Amino acid sequence: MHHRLAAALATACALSLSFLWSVPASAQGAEPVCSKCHEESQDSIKATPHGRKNDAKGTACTNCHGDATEHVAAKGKKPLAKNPMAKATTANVKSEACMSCHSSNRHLAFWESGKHAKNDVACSNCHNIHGSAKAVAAAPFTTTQRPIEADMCGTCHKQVRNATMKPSHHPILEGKVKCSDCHNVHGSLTQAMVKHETVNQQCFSCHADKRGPYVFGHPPVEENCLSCHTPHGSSHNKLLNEKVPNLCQDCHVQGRHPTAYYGQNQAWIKPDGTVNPDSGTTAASSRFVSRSCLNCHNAIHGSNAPSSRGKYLIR
Amino acid sequence: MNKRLISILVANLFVAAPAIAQDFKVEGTVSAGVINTRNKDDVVDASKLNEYKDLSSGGLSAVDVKGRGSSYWFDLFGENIGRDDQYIGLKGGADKTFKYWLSSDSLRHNFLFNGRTPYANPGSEVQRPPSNFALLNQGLWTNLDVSYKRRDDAVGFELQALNPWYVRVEGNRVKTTGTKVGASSQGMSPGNGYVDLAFPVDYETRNASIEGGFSTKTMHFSLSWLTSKFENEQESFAWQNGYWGNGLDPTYLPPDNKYSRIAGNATIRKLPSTRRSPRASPRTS
Repeated sequence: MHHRLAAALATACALSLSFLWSVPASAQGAEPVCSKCHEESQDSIKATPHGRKNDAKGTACTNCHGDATEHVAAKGKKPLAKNPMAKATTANVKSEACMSCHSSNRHLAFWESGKHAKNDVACSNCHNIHGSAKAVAAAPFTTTQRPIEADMCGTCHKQVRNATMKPSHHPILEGKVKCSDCHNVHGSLTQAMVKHETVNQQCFSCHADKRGPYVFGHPPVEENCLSCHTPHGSSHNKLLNEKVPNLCQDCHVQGRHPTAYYGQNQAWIKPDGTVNPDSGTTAASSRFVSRSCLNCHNAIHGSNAPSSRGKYLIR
Repeated sequence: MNKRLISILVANLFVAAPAIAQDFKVEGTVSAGVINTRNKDDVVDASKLNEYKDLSSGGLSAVDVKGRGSSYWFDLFGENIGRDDQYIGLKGGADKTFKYWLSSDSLRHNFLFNGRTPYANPGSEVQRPPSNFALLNQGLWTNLDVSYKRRDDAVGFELQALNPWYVRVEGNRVKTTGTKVGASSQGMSPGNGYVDLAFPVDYETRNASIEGGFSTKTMHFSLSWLTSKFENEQESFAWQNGYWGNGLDPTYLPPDNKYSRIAGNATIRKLPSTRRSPRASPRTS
C-alpha cells in the first residue's frame, strides 16, 4: 500500500514540477501570408505544433511545401517551384521533408531501416497534416469513440484487417489493442517491426503468465509463439493456426496417440449422441471433442507439476 | 486507484493554471447516454457478443477535453466511465520540453455466460461438488459465468528540455482477476476422460522502464533498462477427481516470474543513403 501511495505522490510531484519548468515561448502562431488564399489549410493546423510555429512569412508552410517566393509574387498564378508534398513526388521526397525536422525524434531512429520506408510509404500516407480528425463511424464491434488504428493500417494491410474480424481475435476492433502496441510502425530492426527483440518477448509483454521458465517446457513455446498462434485473428479458438488436434499432429506424428481423430478401439460420436457403428466399438472418444488434445494436456505452455503429469503437460 | 488517478489529474490541472499562459485555450465535450440491453440471463450464452465489451444496461459517458497554449498542451479523454471497459487517459506537456501520460484502461474478457458445472464453487482454490461423483442429478449443479477483468494503469514521463539528450521513464501495473476455462484429465491418466474446470485467475504484472539517449538528425544513441515482474496469487488449485476415489487433485497454474533487459541502440546517419545500426540487448529472466 505504501509503495502505491509513494508512486502516486511521486507522479503528482513530477507532474507538478514539470508544469513549472521554464518553457521557451514559441512564435505565437501568427497568421501567415499563405492563409490569404489557403485559409482552410492554415485553420487546420492552427491548434497543432505546426501551426503554433508558423509566422507571418509562412515559415511552417514553406518548410514542407518548399520556397513560395515566386508563387506569392505571382499571386498564386504560378505553381510552387518545388513542392515536396505534390502528388507526383516520390514517397522518399515527401518523407525527407518531414524528416528534415523530425529525424531527431527517438521514435524515428530506425525509420530508414524499417519496412515502410523501404516500401515507399511516406509519412503523409498515414499522417494527415491538414485533415481534421476523422469522425468515428458507428461500428458493430466496438464501444469506443476513439479512432481504431487498424482502420488506418488496414487500408494497406487488408489481410490483417480481415483477420481481426475473425471469431478469435485480439480486442483490436474493440479499441483495446492498437497495431502500434506491438509494432513500431516508424521502423525497427526486428521481425515484422515488433517493438520487442523477439516475437515471444512481444507476446509476453502482455501474456506474462506464459513466460516461464518451467520445469517441463514445450519447445515450440520457447522458440516462437507463432508456431501455434496467429496474432491478428483466427477461425479457431485461442488464435490457433489450425484446429487441435490437427495442429498438434503437425509435429506429433507418432507416439502413444495415433495420428487420427480417435484412437484404436475408440469410436466417433454421431451428432444425435449415438456411437458410430462403423467404428466397430462402443467406447466414446474424448480426443476430438471440446479442446481435443488440450482436454488432458492443459498445461501446454509448460508445467511445474511433479512427475509424469508435469512431463506430459497434463497438470 | 481510480479515485487516486482522477485526483492526481485534477490536482495537476490546478497546479498548471498559474504556469500556463493567458492564451491557453481549453475546449471539449462531455457526452452521456443510456443503454438498455436484454438481460444476459435471458439468453443461453451471449458471451461472444460481449467478449471484450460491457454491453450491460446502464449509463454511457465520455469526456474529451483538449487544452492548447503557445507551448503547453494536454488531452484528457475518458469513455465508458464506471463500466468494465472504462478508459481514462491524460497526456500533455510542453513543446520540446517535456511530456507526460497517465491512463487507466479496463477490459473484460467473457468466455461463457450461463454455463453449468457439477462443482459447487467454480473458480475457487478448492473445487468440490455438493456430493461425490457421479453427480447425475443436474439440479445440484451450479450456474457459472467464466470471465476475467483486466485493468492496466500506466504512467510515463519524458524530459526533452535537455535536447539532444532525453530521459524517458514509464511504468504500468496490470491486474487480472476472474476465471478462465480449462480442463484436466480424470483419474491418474487420460484414460478416464476429462473434466472442464473454471481455472482461477489472479495475476498481477508490474513493468517499469527507463531510457536515456542522445538523438540528433545525424545520430541516435540510447540505453534502456526494463524490468517486468509477474505474480500469481494462486499458483495451484485442487479439484475433486471423480475417477480418483473422489480425492482432491491439484492442477498447477502459471508460476511467478521476473524478466529484465538492458538494451542499447545506436544509429548513425553518415550519408543520406548510408547508415549503421548496431543493437545489443542482454536479457535475464
